[in-house]
Amino acid sequence: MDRVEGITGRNKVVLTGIVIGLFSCGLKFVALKPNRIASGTGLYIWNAFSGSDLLVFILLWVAVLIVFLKAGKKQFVLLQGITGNVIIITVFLMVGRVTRSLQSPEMPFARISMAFGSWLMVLAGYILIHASVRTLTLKNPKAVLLSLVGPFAVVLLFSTGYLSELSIVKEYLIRRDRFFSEFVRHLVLSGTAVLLGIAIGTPLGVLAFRRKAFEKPAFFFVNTVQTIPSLALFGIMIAPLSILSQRFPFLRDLGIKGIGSAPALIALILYALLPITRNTYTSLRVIDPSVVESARGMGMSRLQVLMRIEAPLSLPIIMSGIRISAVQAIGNTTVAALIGAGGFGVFVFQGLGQAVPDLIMLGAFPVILLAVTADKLMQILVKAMTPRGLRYRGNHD
Amino acid sequence: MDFGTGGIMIKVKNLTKKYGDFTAVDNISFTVQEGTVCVIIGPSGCGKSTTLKTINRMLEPTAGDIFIDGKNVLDLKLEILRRGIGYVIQYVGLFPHMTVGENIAVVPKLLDWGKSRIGARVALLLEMVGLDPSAYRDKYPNELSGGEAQRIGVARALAADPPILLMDEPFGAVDPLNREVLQREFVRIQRELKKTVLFVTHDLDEAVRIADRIIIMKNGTIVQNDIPEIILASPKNKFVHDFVGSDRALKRLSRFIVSQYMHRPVSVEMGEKLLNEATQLREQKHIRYIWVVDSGKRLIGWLDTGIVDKNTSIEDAVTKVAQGKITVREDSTLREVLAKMLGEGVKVVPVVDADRRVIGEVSLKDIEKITEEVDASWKE
Repeated sequence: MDRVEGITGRNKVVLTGIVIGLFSCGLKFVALKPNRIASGTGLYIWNAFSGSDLLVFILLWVAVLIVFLKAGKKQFVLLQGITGNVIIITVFLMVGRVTRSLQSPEMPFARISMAFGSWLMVLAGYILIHASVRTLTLKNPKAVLLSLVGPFAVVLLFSTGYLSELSIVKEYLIRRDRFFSEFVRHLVLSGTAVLLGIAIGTPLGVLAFRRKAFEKPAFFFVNTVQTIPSLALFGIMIAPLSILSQRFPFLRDLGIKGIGSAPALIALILYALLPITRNTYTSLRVIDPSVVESARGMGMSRLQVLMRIEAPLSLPIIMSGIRISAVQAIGNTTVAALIGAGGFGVFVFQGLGQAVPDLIMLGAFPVILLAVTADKLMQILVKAMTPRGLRYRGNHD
Repeated sequence: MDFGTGGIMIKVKNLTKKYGDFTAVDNISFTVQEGTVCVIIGPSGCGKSTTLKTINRMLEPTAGDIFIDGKNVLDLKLEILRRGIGYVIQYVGLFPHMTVGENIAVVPKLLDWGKSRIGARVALLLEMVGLDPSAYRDKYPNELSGGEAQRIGVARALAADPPILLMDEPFGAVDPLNREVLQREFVRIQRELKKTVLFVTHDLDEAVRIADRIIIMKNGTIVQNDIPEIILASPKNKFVHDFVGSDRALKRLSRFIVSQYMHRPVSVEMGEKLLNEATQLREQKHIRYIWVVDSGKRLIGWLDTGIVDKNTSIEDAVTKVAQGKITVREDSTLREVLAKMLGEGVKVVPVVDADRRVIGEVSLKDIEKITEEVDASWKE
C-alpha cells in the first residue's frame, strides 16, 4: 500500500517538474538590456538560438518524456536524476552561448541576464533530481552524487569564465574583493549571533523549565522580540546604543556604536533566542518524568542523569532549534546591512538603490544558498544525534 | 509467601514527612522482615508512596529514622544507597534511547561490572521475567507492550541483585489481564529470590495475592499492620472494614493454598471390579462420590456410588471429566477451588499433579470451615 502510494506520489512530483519544464520553454529565456539599469527586452528560445541549438532543447525534453513514461522502475529513477542534472547544466551552457552571440560592438554596455524561462527550467531540473534522490534515499551514494553533480558543474562554469558575459557575473567581477569580504562578514555576523544565542538561549530554556516563576516572563520576552519586524528592531537599537557610546567613551573604543555590527549583533541574538529557548524548554518538557525518576532512583548522580539521560534525549530537539535560529539569522543578517553592519545585504540595498536587479540578485543568491546549506547540514546533524530508539520507524525524512 | 528466616531488613522509626503545613506521613513506624513482601495499601493521598520514596531517599524525611540492615540511610551516600535498592515505578521509566539490554545494564555499569558478567546477567534476568533474551535484548522501549515494558522494569531493578526492592504501584498501568499474569510471575520470582520487598498499591486483590504482610494507611498514619489473613478476618475498625470490602471472606480465600487443606482422595481403578468396589465403599464407609482413575492413577472421571446397582453399566456410572475442568493443583488457592466448584456445580474437586494423577481432594466443607473464621460481625 504504502509503497504503491509512494511511487504514484513521486510520479506526480516528476510530472510537475516536466510540466514546469515544458512551460518554461515558452517563456522568455534571456533578457537583453542596452545598459545595466535600463529595462530590457526578453528573448524567447526561438529568438535567441539558431536551429541546431534549438535541437538540443527538443532532444532534452524528448528524453525527459521517455523517462517519465518509464518512471517508477529502478533504473529510470537513476536516469531521472541524471536528466535533471543534464537540464540544469544545459541551461547554463546555453545561457553562456547566448551571451556570446548577442554581444555586439554597437552596444558596449549591453547586459544579458537570465530571464524567467531559464530560471524556471533550472527549477524543473531540480525537481527531477529531488524526486530521484528521494526515491533512492540519502544513504545511497548515487543519490549524493546526483544531488552534487549539477551544482558543482554550474560552479565550474562560473569559475572558468564561460559565463563572464552574464550580467550578474559582470556585477560580481566589478566587486570581487568586496564580495568575499561581505561573505565573511555575513558568516561571522550570523555565526556569532547563533553561538551567542545558544549561550544565552539554552540556559534560559533550562531556567524556564526548572523555575516555574521564570517560565512566563522568559517566554514573554523572547516571543515579543520575535514579533518585532527585523527592520524595526535594527532601528530601535540605534538610539540607546548611540547614547550609551556617547556616555561611556570606552564602549566606542570597543566598537559599540549606534550603527555598525554591535546593534546588528544584539538584534540578531535577540531573534535567535526564541527557537533555541523554546526548543530547549520543550526538549526537557517532553522527557517523561518517570525516566528521570527511575534514573535517579537507580543511583545516578545529577551529572550522570544529565549526561546519560537528559542530554541524549534533549539534544536533537535543541539542535532543531539551533537549526531554525541559524537559517533565520542568515536571512536577518541581510537586513542588518541597513544599519551599516555589512554582509550580503550591502549588495541587495545597493541594487535596490541603483535599480539594478542583477546586483540585488548578487546579494540575495548567496544568502539563499547559505541558508539552504546551513539547513541541510544541521538536518544531517540532528538526524545523527537522534538516538535510534527515538526515531519513528518508517520515517524517511 | 514464606516468612523470611532473617531479621529485620527495613526499619522505619517515627517517620514524618511534611510539605509546608500539610503532613503527608505522620509519625509512623514499621519494620519489614528480610525476605518478605510487605505491601502498603490505602486510598490515594494516604502517604503510601511518600513513605516508600523516603526509603531510598527520593524524598527526604522531615523527621524520623530509616534503617536498612541496621544502617541509617541518612548516613549513606545517596548514590550508594540507591544502587543497592531495586526501584520499580508505575510508569516504568525505561530509558527510550537505550536498548532493553542497555536499560537492564545501567546499574551493573554504574557498579563497574565487567562486560561478560553484565551480558550474562542481562540474559539471565530476561529469562527470569519470561522474555527471550535473543529476541528482546536489542529492542528499544518503543517496540515493547506495556506488560513487556514492566517486565523489563522489574528485570532492571533486579540487575545488580539488590537485597531490597521498592515497588511503587508497579502493575498499576497494566491492563487487568496482564496484571494478574505479572502478579503471578512476581510471586514465582519472589519465591526463588527471597528479596525484601516494600510494595505500594491501591489494589487490595493485588495486595492479598502477593503480600506476606499488609500495612493499611490512612491520612499519613498506619491503621492496621498485619498478615493478610488477619486483616481480612478481623479488620481493626470501620475504615479497614470498608476498605477490604464486603467480599473480604472471598478475598481471604486466595491466601489459602490447596496443599494445606486437601484430604486423601478416595479413588478406584477403572475396570471390571469398579462397580463392586463402589458398592462396597457405599455400604461399608458411606462414601458417596469416588474418583475413577486409570492404572497410572490418572483421573478419568467420577462416580456417584448412590446410583450404582446391578443393572448399571460402567459407561453409565462414570462421569468423565475433561482435562482441567474441575481439577485443581496443589498450589491453587481456595478461591480458585471455590470458583471451580461454583462453575461446575460440584462439592468436591480432585487435586491432581502435573501428570493428572489424583493426589488429593478438597471439599466445600473445608472452605466453609475457613470462611467461618472470618469475624463477620464487626460492629462500630
